Amino acid sequence: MKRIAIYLSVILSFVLLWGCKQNFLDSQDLTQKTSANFYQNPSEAEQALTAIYSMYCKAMDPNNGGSIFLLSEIMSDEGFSGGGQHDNEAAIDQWQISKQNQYDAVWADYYQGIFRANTLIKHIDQVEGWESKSKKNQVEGEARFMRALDYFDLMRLFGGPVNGKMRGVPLNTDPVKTVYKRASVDSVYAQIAADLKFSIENMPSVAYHELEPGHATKWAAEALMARVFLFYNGQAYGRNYSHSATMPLPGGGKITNDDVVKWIDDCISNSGYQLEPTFGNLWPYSYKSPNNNYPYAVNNNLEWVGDDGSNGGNNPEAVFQIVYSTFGGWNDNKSTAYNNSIALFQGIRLQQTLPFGYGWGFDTVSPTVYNTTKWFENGDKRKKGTVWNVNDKTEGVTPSYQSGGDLWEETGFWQKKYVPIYVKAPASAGATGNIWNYSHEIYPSLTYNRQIDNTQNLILIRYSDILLMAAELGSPNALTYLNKVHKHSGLSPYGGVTEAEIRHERRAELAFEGIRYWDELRYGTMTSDLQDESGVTIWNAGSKTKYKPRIDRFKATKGFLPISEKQITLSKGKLKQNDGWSSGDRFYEGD
Amino acid sequence: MFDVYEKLVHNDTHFLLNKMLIQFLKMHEYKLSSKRSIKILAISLIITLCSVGGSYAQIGAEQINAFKKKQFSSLLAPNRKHMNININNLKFSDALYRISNKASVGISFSPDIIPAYKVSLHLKNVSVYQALYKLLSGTGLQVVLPKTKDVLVIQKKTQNLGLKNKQETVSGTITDAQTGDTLPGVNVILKGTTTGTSTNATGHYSLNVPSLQDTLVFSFIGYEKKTVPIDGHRKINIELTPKTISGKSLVVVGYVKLKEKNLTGSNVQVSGNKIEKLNTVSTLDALQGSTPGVQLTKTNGQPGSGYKVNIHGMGTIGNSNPLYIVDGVVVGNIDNLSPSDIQNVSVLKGPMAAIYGSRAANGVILITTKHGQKSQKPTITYNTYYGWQNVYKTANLLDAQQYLTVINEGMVDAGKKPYDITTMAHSLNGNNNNKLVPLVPDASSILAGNDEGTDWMNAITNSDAPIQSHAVNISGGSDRTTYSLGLSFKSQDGILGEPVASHYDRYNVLINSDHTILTDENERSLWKVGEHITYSFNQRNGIAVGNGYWNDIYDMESANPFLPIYGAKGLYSYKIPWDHLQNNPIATMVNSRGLNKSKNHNLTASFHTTISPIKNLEFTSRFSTNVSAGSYRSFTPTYNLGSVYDATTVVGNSKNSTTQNMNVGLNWIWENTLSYEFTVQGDHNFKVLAGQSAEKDGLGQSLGGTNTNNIFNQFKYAYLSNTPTISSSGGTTISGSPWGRGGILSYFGRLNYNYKQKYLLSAVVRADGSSNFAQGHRWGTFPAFSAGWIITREPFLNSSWLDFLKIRASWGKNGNQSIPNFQYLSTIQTGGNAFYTYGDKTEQSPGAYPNILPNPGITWETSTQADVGLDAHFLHSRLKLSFDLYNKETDGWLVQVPVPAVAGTNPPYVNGGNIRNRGYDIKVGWSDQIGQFHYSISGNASYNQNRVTKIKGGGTIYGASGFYGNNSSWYVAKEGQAAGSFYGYKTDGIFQTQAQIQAYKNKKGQLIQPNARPGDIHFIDLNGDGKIGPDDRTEIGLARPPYNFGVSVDLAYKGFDFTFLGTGVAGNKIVQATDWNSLNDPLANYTTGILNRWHGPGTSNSMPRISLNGNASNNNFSDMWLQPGDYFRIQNLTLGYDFKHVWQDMPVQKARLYVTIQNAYTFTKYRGMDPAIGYAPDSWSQGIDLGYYPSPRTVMFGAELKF
Repeated sequence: MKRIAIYLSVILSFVLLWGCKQNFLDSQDLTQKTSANFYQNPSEAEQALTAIYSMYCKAMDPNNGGSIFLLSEIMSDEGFSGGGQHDNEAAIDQWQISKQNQYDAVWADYYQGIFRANTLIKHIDQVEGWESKSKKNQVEGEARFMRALDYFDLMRLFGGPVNGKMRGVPLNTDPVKTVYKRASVDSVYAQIAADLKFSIENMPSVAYHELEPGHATKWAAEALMARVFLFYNGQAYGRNYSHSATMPLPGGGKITNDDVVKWIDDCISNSGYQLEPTFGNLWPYSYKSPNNNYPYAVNNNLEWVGDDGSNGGNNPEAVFQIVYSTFGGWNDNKSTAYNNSIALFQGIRLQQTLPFGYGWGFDTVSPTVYNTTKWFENGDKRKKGTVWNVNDKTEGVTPSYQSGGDLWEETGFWQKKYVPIYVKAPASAGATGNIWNYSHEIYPSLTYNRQIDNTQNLILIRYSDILLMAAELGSPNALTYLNKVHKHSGLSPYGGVTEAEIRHERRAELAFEGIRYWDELRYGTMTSDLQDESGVTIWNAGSKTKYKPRIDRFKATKGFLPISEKQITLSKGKLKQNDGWSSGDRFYEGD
Repeated sequence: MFDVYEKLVHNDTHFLLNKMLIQFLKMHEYKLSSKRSIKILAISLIITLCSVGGSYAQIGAEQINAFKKKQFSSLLAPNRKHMNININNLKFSDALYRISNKASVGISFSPDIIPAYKVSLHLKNVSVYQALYKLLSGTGLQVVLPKTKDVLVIQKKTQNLGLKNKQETVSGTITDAQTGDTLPGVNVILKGTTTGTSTNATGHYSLNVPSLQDTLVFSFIGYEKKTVPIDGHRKINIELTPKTISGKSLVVVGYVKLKEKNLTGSNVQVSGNKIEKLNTVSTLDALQGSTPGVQLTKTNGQPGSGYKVNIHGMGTIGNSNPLYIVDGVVVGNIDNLSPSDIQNVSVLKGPMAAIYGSRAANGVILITTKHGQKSQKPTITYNTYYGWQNVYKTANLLDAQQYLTVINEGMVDAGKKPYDITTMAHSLNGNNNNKLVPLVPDASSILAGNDEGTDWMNAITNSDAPIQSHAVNISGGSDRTTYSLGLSFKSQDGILGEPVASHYDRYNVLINSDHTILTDENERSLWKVGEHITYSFNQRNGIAVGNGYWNDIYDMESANPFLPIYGAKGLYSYKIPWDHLQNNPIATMVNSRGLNKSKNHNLTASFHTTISPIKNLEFTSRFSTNVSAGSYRSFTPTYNLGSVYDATTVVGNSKNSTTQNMNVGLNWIWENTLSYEFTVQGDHNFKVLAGQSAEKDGLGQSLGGTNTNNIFNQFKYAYLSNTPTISSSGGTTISGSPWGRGGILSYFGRLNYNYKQKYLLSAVVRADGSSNFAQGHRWGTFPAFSAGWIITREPFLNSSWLDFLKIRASWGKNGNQSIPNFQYLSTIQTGGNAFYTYGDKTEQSPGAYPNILPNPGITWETSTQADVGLDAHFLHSRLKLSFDLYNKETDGWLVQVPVPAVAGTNPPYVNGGNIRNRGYDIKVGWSDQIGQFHYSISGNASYNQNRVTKIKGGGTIYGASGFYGNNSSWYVAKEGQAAGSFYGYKTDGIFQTQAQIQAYKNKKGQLIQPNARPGDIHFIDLNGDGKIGPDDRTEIGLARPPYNFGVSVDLAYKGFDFTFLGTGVAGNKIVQATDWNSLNDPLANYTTGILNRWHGPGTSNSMPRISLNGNASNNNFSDMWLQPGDYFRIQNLTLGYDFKHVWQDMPVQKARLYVTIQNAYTFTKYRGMDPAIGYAPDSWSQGIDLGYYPSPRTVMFGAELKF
């Protein structure tokens, strides 16, 4: 008996194991959805869309090595690099780099955003359960808008010349088929145009305040189309813009100037956006705190329109903006991409006053901006509304500004649009010097940390710009539009529209908003603008010296950034470097 | 008499220990006045030191002395050592003791039968039996073997006198079946009676039996019992076959045990004794230098850190770890195993590892833990040591004066004025105060040479860091049960990281036992069960030793010496604006990184049962599980830092942070094997095995959280319950997830065949299905074949100098499936740069995106290996040689090939390319004795050539970049080069003069380095395109050493033993990244290597100029930054003395005291602290010193007792 039992158990064991079926090896992912079961419902489509915006925040974060906003400010004639003596950003002011692979991360961020958009666009037709067709069109339109914006930023930063001929960046629209070679300029712009055209034609025409802020809209698409059209037809590509300009579409179609004018006029008439009459009210320095007052703001009777969208969005000029939040931090879920790090970078260096708070001192303002009428005519209210002259006692800034330290390219002038604005803090807050960012008053849950508490939104397309682009594109209402904007200056209106007047108005109205550099490139004025800056007085770590722009480097690079060598190597040489970035003088040797 | 002995055997261990202790104390008392008192004091000292009671086996008046004998098998093995006997006028009983000691064999006798006279005896080259026969001749006494078979019993030759009718005499000679040697002392018993005799010194026996129809039973220690019917014969010659005792002559090679001489694969064995003798903390430490073909490199020297292990070269840049199997259980690593619990390590290097198919591509390390032996008296061993560890080579950082000199030279080079640190001023308290103070505290003393500034590395050095170990093992067995119990504790402090120096404690428990439940009438086992349980607990804390952004040692090496350690109020100093990025590295280490503790429990339990319904047919079923649980806590307190300028303090961190993580889970494996061993026509020996196994892993989960505002501000209170409020504004994270589950299903078979133990053949095959791959890509089949020929068993080769020669060859395929699960799908990530805020700034919306590109076709990585080798013994087996030549081709390695960022997300795992490893291993040993001086010298060397033969899509896989000062990638896997080798520019020294730069022109007459200045590196335009660019980069050095070697010397003279173990590598390079960093971050501190920098024509050809402008092209990664990695290290020096030698009547078998120096000296040209650097950011390279935690030099004293 015993033996039989033993033999039976032997047989049983074998049978049991042989019985293990194929499904023994099947397993299920319990923490992540997979491509097999995602993109099924509208909520998942919206999550996919959110991840695209999220990645754009990262690309815009200067902590990540490159931010098109901050870089364009530093490269433009309105701002110098500023920052500390050993900061890497100083190099790009001279179209140089201070380390290899300096702009690797920003390049990667844009392509991650594009990948996320490509994936959503590819799968959106399998999503079921939309409450309406227009809801689906809204989501797809946003994804296409963001893809267009990512490509446009990439083109402006990296789409430079190769052996003297302008080249595009690698163009990918399918998430699983990746092309590493650089496309032609036209094919990238055609793709941008096609995406924006889709967004314009399909997204619902809903007034902006009926939409949740932060989302791209039909209006933003119309505006971005105009900006892309003007840049594409500018001097950066050797074109002299005229009203007969066109931009290609994939497969041979074209977008004409008239199309663009039609769309931008549609935006102006139907979006609900309008001009804020008082220029200063657009910026947080006009924030009215129960605990504080900035004498300049008080004296000019300013009150900030705010940028909190919780009551429907109350900045009437913010056509497309990055919504910054209270989720700044140093990990993935709370990162420096989610607060306005540009404001931190551009704040005065390592000191704090009321109202200008703690920052790292980048984007110091060229004295030319303040001291000449190239930007602001005499009496233009926007001058003091935009620039702080540290020696101007009427500003009422306390305590007084300290110059020197390790600040580079110091000028004594700071822009006011994107800087930390401070108010008095309760003693219990434990804030350094008992002053802190105004955001703490509005959002009590915000952690006190001077490096992550800037919540001001970054307006990438402002209504004034739309009006000025419409004028430039030859809208029938050009003069009206120009004078609407000009009202911000408090000066008398223009009698007629000229190219020069529009350009001048853009310079004054849109200073320090990440616009100027691209205007210089498309107008082709960079070389002469740089000559104007040559020899102006600056202080490097407290030593007085003269600013020496590297016009030769601008000419060598045409103003575009290097693709990181790491990417070129990874592409096994398929990716070609922009001109000017292979020679030894690409490396910054200091001033 | 036998009964008393039996009782001893069956007593449980505690009882025995107590009894021994009592005996010892008695003896101690009454013999104190004797001439041996001093010896006894010495013994008691040893015993007190070791904190375990001694033993003295005097049991009553019968005086049975039953000394444990461990080396039975070696004594009785065919090639046993004979001994010389020199006895001068000793008491008869002392003479017996002397012989038993000499032979390390237990002898038992009743004193009343022993003659009272004294004897002298002089014999040369005799066995213990021969010696005893000589001694006992004429005394009427004989040697017999009791049932328990492990002591020799002296008794009167009266056993067979009780037989009244002696009718017939049977006689014959008994020989060893393998060697043909005659066997003295073999018991010959008439079956069913106690009548018997034993063979004499020439192996001859003669026995009177009642009838020629009876049956004789022949038994002998170490040999298989043989029952032979007389069947009418008067002369019966018998061959006895040696019984194989585990771990000695049998080698575990995958589900079966084979005789070492019959192996046909490429294997290497290391015995537990050897491992234990080296007194290392981990098992892998002890394998270093003794296992040719196995490359072991520490990933860092911090206590408790692991090793990189490559067997026969690195076959993949994915997971290249070998498969570890402990007593049949697959485990992830053997770091938790105590070296004291190991009986034997067997490394399967060659293709025959295919019996473990799926995961054997990188070789298999099989560990057998200590098991008891049948009929073995309880044996207790205790080993302890205590040691002091120190840094053996300092980092040689610049002091404040040297640093200032170097920095100022850099300023001058950059066209600036040198710093005058005495006048450099700094505005106190930022913007609130205009008062200026000297920027560098104590600047004038520094300038005057009175203050050398801060030596950060010295400040964190933990001198004489203690290390200690205690290990007890008790093992034994009866004829049906064997057991082994082990208990050990190890504790090691780190040599760096004060005041939060690393620490590691480990506790191990081992329980092994086997039981025969059922036997047949011949006492053949029908049913056996057994279990194997190891449990370990370890706890550790450590400092940061990762890449340049998480490495406290790097921070110490790069911190400038101007910053004092302490500022106001005795607090750690707040940084000075000299280098605005640099915080006080000790403050960072202590507060942000060093407060942590991880605890891990690991239980491996396996239960097996073997059923053998008919002889040689065995069915074994084994269920094993590996349960692990771990916890981790860390804490960052709120703290203030002290200004170095005035009495104020600065808030360093205003919000404390507590992290607590836990994980628990298991895997299980169920295996069934059926084996049968049979012989056809006497000479054709077969062993076949079929098996199946099912395995699930990753059945567990992890839970963790971080929160702020701990109501206590101390690490010991770092528990989440002490953080009662969830911070809405950040600082709170929670996580909880299942482990990655997977499964493997396998079917396998094995055939071993030999003809007359001369021609050997072996074949294995295994089919594995893995859940890591998509359906249709899951199954892989891995066959292997091997053959061997023992030429010395051929009659034509009968040489006097060649004792043994075997040639062997093997070929086979192995697999690898080590990738994360679900790589065949594209997974959707919801955290990590996916959130966005629409409108309400206090509300995040979740986002989701595919975080990897899918690869539905991903499947097994396969390595095809061929191996030829030989084993030879010469000159009476004094010289042994073993040699292996192998070629291993890995196809379709599993790797995440980096893709350009344009792809937009993480690249998938792909079957990405092929690697070829070729090489040889050689091992030579000589052992002999001259009188009482025994010596053995052995050496091994291995050579491995690694080549990437194909990369999918061509080109290059780049290693990590940006791990150190935003560097580019320093190592690559590139077709035609060794995987993980260093990749950069070749250089031709330093430009000494402008004329040299002007002379360096391309074909068009243009300068190749137009921007260079004297003092810059002269790069070679390798591709000849007339300029220096990324395409000029090439393989500039091997990261993994192609040559590994080890030398060991063992000497023994009387009670003394001496061990020397040296290991070394050659042919590789090391990057001392601090040198490179000095160009990248010029205000960081330097090692004294920088003093050799170029500072004028002819000053240096190996270190470029220093410039505070940054030398952007000089820090292109080039061979200038590589240093030779060759070294030879005296790994272990041990001198021991066994006091048993002088005090032979000590109640222990062994009482050895020893002193060991580990890591005594390293011969190397490398300038850093330790050339044995396993670190690289990716597992597939090494040799990057970013601040490497060095291995300590340890001096230790220890004691080893065996009862």
